[in-house]
Amino acid sequence: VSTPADPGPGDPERRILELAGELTVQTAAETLPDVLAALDGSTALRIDTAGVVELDTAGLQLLLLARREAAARGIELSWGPTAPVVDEVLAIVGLTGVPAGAGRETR
Amino acid sequence: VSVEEELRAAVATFVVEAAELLAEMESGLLELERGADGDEVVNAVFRAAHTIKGSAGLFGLDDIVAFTHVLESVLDRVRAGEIAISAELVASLLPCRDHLVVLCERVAAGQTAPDPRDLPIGEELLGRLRGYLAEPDGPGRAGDGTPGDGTPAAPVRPVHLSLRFGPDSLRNGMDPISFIHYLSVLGEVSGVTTMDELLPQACSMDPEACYLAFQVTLRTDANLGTVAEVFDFVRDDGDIRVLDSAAGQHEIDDLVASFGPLGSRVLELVERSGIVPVPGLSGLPVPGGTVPGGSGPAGSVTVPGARQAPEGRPGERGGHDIRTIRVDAARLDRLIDTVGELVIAGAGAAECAQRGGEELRAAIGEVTRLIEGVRDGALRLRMVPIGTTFGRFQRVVHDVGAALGKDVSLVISGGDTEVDKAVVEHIGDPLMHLVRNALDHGIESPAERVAAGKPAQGTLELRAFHDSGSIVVVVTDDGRGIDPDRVLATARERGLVEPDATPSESDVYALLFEPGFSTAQQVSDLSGRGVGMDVVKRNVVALRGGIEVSSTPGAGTSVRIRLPLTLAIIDGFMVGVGATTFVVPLDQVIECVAVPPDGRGRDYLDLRGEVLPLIRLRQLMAVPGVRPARENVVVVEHAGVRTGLVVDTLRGEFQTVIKPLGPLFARVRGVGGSTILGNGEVALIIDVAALVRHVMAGAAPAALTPGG
Repeated sequence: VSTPADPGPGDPERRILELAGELTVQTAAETLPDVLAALDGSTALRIDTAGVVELDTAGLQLLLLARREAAARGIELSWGPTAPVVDEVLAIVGLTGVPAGAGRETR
Repeated sequence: VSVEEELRAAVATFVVEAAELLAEMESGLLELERGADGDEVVNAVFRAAHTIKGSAGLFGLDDIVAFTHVLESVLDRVRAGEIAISAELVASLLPCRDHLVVLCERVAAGQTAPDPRDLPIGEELLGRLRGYLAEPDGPGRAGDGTPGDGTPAAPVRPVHLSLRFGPDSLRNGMDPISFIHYLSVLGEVSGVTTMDELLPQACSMDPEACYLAFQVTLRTDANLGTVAEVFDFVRDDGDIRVLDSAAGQHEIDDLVASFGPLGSRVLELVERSGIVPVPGLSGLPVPGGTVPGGSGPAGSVTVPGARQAPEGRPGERGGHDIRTIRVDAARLDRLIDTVGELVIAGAGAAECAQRGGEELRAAIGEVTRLIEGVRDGALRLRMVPIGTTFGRFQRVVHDVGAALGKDVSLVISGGDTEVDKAVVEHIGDPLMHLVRNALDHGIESPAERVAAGKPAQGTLELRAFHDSGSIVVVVTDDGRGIDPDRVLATARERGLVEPDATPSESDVYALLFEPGFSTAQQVSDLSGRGVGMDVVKRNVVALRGGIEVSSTPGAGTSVRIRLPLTLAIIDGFMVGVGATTFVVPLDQVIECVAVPPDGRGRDYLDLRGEVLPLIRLRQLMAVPGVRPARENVVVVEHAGVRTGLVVDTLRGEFQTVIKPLGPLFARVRGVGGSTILGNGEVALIIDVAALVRHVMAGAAPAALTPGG
């Protein structure tokens, strides 16, 4: 479902987390360790959700957890590319700014 | 401390707070009935209901929550001016308040499950209340779970939804995102805020549990019931609130409070949703709870609807407004007990210091001064205003007056006069007797009053004030008064007074407290007046107090009770019999005289021409030893009766702390307590009242009017 991307040569702590397939309550338990591993010791992290085909509240919680942890640990976090379904869900819950790393809510 | 004990303690706190709030509610309702100026009082009553509901929710006392909810809704509409204050309204609300008292007492007795016996009454009361809610725009109110049942649609307006799904909702296939998406069927979802603040630490996160909360603004013409219906399946384990501009302040308060520390953020979002006009928001409570009355103890902060509240543990509440703290009374008693021993030990040290050097005496003098300060401070901790006790009588006057067809107004003054908690606890019953007597027999019916040229409305006054180390409580009515001649005649009939005796007026009124008088049949309003008066007197005397009556026939009666400010410490007068020391309360000592050589064998003394009955302490207390050549008499007075106590030696004044006697001594006649002397010896404190009774039992009626 997800694969921590190969660290780029020369900067081992710049990472990419690729999430794909279902990102739902069905897969959350197995995805959480991946998210935490990607965060651990990283200085910059890009989360790529291009391959995600379904996102629910459990999946959203993982994305928000990553965002909070990154902010808390001073990790530079970026989003993209994102799958249409992810954008759609974020829009429903008023989080359209999240992938860009901006505000938490919109009206 | 086990969780169970903690919970029990918390429930006990709830019960105490609820009782106080219900008392406030009662006096507030009565004030409203008397036409008191509205807003503040209505708010206070509302807040009381609101707080009780919130606290009851914490303990899962669902029946109290459900009942109070309806009461609160009615009060909210009163507050909004939608329901006018009337005698009928108060008459509907008072029994609800009483019902809550019953429910809380049941909780106090340890029964937290609803009692089926309470149900019929509760339902009947709620039925009456619902009548007030059934007016237009009443049905289907926010979050009450009333489904829209084809009721006409509302105009398009913003509706605020607060969605917190239960932790297991995701696993059960209920995804908030789907629900929010679905809302667009009902209208335009114009704003959604995802609150991720409740996400736990990464390491403790259950990835399948639901942590997110959502605040949604929906512009819709659907009524609230229809909107709420969408969430019917999640409401049970979640916390779903649906509000529009008809939402009462308490519903918003509730919502804000349910978010604990995040309340202010939720409040901001509610404001932004446009369901409330912003100016009205100034009075909102601090996030996390409301402090009732703005001056309540920190412990009465509520977290309403708190099944899901992040700070649902009562032990964690507080930190808002600590102008008063609640202290376990037993702890206070222990402190005062210890301070008492400190006073005694201090006195002992001072005695030793007298034999020491100048420097030691000075140092001890300073310590003594400080100890007195500590003593006074500790006693003051236990002082409470007597007004709470007075307040109870509003209801009594209201109810009894109504039952008797009498219009009586209760006037309270000096309610902030402070007195020891122990005194307050014991004064309630005697006062109740006096108030009932005044209502039953003192104050006339309106017709009688008008005929007598008085205003139709009678007045009963409860007044308290401090007077030289005592508190004086006066119960005054402007009723028909008591005719001293008839009292005297009745007393003569019953053989309480010699046929040819002519006691003074005050002595005549004192006869009202005689057991022989009180047990008289209720043949007239006069004898009825005496019912229970001896009991009243006994209670007052047991508190080392005194009681007297004055009356003007046709104009009213006044009963004056004098009580010590504290029961813990008295100024005593030490006397010696053989090797034993006794302490007589100093305020009951009139004078001391030596027994004249010719009076040694007699049971009375000629004191300046008056007969003074004597009690020989040596005999009464069975002190061994031989009577000394010179004996002394301590003249004591109680309730106007003087008696002489024959003792060996007079040892002077001594401030003393009364310690209750153990059960072993409970039946010893004439002893009211014990104390420890500076030298460590135990001394018994003489109960003058009991001794006087003893004398009167043996020597009445001659001793009854010693002053002539």
